[in-house]
Amino acid sequence: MSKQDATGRKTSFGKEAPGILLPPALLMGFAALLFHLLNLVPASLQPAQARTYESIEAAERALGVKISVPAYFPDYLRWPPTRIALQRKPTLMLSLVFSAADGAEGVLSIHQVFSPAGEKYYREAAKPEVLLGELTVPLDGREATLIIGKGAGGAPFNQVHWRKGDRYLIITTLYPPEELLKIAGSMKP
Amino acid sequence: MAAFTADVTGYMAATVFYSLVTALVVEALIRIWAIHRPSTRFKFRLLVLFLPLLYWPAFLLTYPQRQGDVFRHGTALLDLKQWLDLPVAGTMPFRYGLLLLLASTTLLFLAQELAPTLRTLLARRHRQERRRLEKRQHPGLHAALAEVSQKMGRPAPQVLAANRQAPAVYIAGAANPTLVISSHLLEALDGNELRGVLAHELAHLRRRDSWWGWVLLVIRVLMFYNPVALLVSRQLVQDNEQACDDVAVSATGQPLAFAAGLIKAFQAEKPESPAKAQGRSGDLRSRASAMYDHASLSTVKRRAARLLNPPPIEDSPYENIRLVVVSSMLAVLLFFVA
Ligand SMILES: [Zn+2]
Repeated sequence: MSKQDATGRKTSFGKEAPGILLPPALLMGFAALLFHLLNLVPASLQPAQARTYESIEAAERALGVKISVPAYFPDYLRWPPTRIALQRKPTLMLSLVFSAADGAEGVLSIHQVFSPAGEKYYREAAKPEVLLGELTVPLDGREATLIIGKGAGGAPFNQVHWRKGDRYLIITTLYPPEELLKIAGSMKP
Repeated sequence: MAAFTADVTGYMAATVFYSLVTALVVEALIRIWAIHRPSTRFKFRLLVLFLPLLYWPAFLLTYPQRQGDVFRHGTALLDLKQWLDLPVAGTMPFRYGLLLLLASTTLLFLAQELAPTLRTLLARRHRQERRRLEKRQHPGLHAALAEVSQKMGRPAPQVLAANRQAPAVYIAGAANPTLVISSHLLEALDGNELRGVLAHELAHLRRRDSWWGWVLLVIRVLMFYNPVALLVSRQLVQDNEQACDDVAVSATGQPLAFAAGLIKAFQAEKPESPAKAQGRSGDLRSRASAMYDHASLSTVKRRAARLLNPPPIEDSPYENIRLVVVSSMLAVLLFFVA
């Protein structure tokens, strides 16, 4: 492709391309950097407060994504979750906390990390006081990590974490690993 | 209701921010690429009005999750809502500051642009006062018009004379355009000045500026709250006038005479009293774009100075490719501003 400019010089697109592409690209890069810095300011000015939502539906509306919930939901658990919260630091993570049907609080929690690097943050969800074992188990045709340990007061602590689609899931419970894996295997979407 | 108000504020904040970023990028590129040609500047600056109106709904349609907290907090480069909701000393200064800015812009738009436009559209007064100019009444005008039309390769439009109350010279009507010139101005101009002024008006015709006036009016009504759009639309008018000035000079080859004609045309419609100035249309401008009636002596002087001391006009080749490149890069960048 070539054109003649006003002074009659022949110009070819190949020769003009750097001059056409580079300045706007540099401006965009500069703007992107500026936006990134601008975005850090309000976050650093206010304490990182978790946002809580009234219901799964309200949370889905606010988040703009579907929330993963288990299709297998045994009778000894109480629906809906007692707490639905979104925390922003150190990563964007939604947590659902469930009570038992008998009223015992925090017997199961499901954390969903919306980040490609989600696996780095599974310890942010919950970690055992005493680690008894860690093994790889198949889940959804993928590899998941099962952690068996003891939590506060010597209560059982069983956790499984794995990547599912656009998010990283971490499920922690004091119920036995077989139940945990059944719940984990039924997560939708 | 509260959620709806928040959504509307969010939409307005986003479109104003998109306009601001586009304006800064476009102005920087106009300087980097040394774009002096007014018609090219006009095209680039149009992006400031078009892109926000186009991109915001396009982003929402293609990726609705964009409005959600997961996109805002996770993927977005900049979350404007975070700034709007930022609490400082028990209040939200950025949200209220923005609302104040939007409200003042709206008032300015209503008072300075929409009201005069509506008044012009509703006032049939000028139209009745126009009368057809026959050849024998002003042979000089018809000869000059024929000469300039031929040089510019277009048919000469019908000419009407207006009385002293009307603007000095303008193109009336978009579908069936007519040149209206005040008899007062006709007496004041000599032959070369008249040819320059006529060539300028014919350039408006060739650029279809009556249609552009309507298009810009619609865009401006849609962005009534946008201060960046307000400033840029005034710049667009100046670019447009300068583009027509350049055509007039190249058609007549008489920059000095045209500059003199320009100043006389401005003075010919200078109001005798401020009260009489109400409802007047612009200098050398179409009625449809009467909303851009901001002709002041300083802008006319600037135009005249530019004619006498023209900047170097060098082509920036591949103008349309440049426009597409800038628009697409801005689309990618602004997508990540929610
Ligand atoms: Zn004009």
